[in-house]
Amino acid sequence: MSIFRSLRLVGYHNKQFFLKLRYDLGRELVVLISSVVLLGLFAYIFRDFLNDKLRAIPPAEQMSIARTFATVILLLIGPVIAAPIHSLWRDEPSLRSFAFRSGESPAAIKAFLLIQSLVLMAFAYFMYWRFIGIPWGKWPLESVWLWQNLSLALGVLRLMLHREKPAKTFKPLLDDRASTRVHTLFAWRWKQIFLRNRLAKLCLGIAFFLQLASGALLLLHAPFPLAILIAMGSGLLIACAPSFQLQEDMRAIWFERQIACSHEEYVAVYQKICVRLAVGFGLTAAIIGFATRGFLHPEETLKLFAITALFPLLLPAVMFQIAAERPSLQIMTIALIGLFLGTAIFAHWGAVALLPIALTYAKQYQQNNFYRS
Amino acid sequence: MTLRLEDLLKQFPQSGFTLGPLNLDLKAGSRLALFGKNGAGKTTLFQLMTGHMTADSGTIEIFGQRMNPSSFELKKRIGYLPQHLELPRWVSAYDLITYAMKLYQFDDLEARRKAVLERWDASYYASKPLGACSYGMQKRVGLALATLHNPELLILDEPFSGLDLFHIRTLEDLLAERSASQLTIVSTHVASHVAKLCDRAMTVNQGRLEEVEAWNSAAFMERLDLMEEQFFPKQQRKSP
Repeated sequence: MSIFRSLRLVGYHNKQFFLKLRYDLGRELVVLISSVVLLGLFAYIFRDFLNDKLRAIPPAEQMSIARTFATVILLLIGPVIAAPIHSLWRDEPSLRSFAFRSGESPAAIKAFLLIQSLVLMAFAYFMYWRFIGIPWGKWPLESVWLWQNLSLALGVLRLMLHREKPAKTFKPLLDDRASTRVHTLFAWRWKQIFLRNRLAKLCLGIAFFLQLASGALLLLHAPFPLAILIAMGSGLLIACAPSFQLQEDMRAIWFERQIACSHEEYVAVYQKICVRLAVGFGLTAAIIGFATRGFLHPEETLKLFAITALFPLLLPAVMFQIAAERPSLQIMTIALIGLFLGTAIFAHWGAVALLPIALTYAKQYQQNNFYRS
Repeated sequence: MTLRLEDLLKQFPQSGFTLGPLNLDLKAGSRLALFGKNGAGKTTLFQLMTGHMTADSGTIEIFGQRMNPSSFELKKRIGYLPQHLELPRWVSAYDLITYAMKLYQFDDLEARRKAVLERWDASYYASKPLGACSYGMQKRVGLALATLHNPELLILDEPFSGLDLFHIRTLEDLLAERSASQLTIVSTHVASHVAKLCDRAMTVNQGRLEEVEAWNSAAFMERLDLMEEQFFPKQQRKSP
């Protein structure tokens, strides 16, 4: 009988997800519809340009790029899905701990955890194979088994390497030297991004790794649009770092509101952070581009700078548009606008002129939302 | 008057809850205790007073100035401890107090920080990540932040919850030390915590403020009796 009790726990667990979805339904629908409209518009405007660029890449290379992309995603799924599975088995408080304290049999709880873990894995891999693996990977069956098992092995490895870290002590984040309020607000976040916020550090690390990978590919004479695509990916990851810090800020935002921080000061601080990240990583992308491609088409290589820098620059303009405390929404919005503007810049340098217009309009639209968020 | 509410009204159409209209005058030197059932409107009132929320109508005047979310200079004169205390996870108490002092543009940070950490018995965990600290430890950091600048108006929303006896005494001492030019408002569910400290008491009942009669002239034990007589008979169960 315990299997029915385990299945009921699985039902309760997954119901939480749908209840949360229903709670945020209005906002989720707005995001979904806006995203679909924007993606449709993107495909409509850039259809000819993208087809043109695609035709310039030989079919064998296209196949190779698509397969590499599908492989990377597959290898990432294992470690990514390991995180919610780890939370399921270890987090406190949780449905597992509640069921245990309510006297549920350990066997039923264990079966619930196993079934739920399998549900999560099945869902993630089904979505992958349905929408990426089969259409893009096009592997023979034996390769499918190899990559699938490798992805699972990476997930298991991540679970095994996960250790509860004991609470360590921190060195002081700020020094005692006198500084302006805005500089203090800036240093507080900047140092957290680089020294404390694990997700932010991870995003910046992967972004840098992608830039190096892009350099290596260019050195191997990979098509330039691939470098542009990687620049977009790394730009998005760079924008993720301050987005995750913003989420952390929003947990305790009562304190900064109480200490009389204004909307303008707050946005200015994120502006400063994002400009620094944009210039730093943009220059790195450009240097890597010139080092590997030479100075044959400098105006094209410089687009790597503009496209990498574009994504972090968008954050201060979108941070209070929908929900500052939800980085997934921020990242999605930045990805959509960045895809639009990035492709436009790739098509023509003149599109850079769109950026200040979009940023100014967006900033006006979110005026004073710091106190409403 | 240090704090004046005039026909203050805040409505929540979704839940059907209405706070107000509220009228209140508080002089400097007062220590007001606020009681009320869960959901009576105490936290909403505090959020309005501190400019974290805007009212639908009416005014809040503090030190002669209107309070709203952009009253930045006024906010610097207020200390606030929210009921649901959320602190950043990846910083330490040391970091957070240093950050607050720098935002208040204090001099002599080292001496001040040492005094604050010692007062709230937080020195021994000052460099631990706040995410790894217990609720009581975090509460003390919240109290340190609210009182750091010795504010003219101090608003504490359920400050005693989560504190041990030793630190309840620390908080009581701090409230007793506040000068005649400062105003203090404390909400609590335990009357004995404030019965010896507050010279005025009010209840929030279904969105309205009601004075606890004869509180000021009553002695400690009599104040507890006043609560029995004036608070409980007015409360209604919400369940059908």
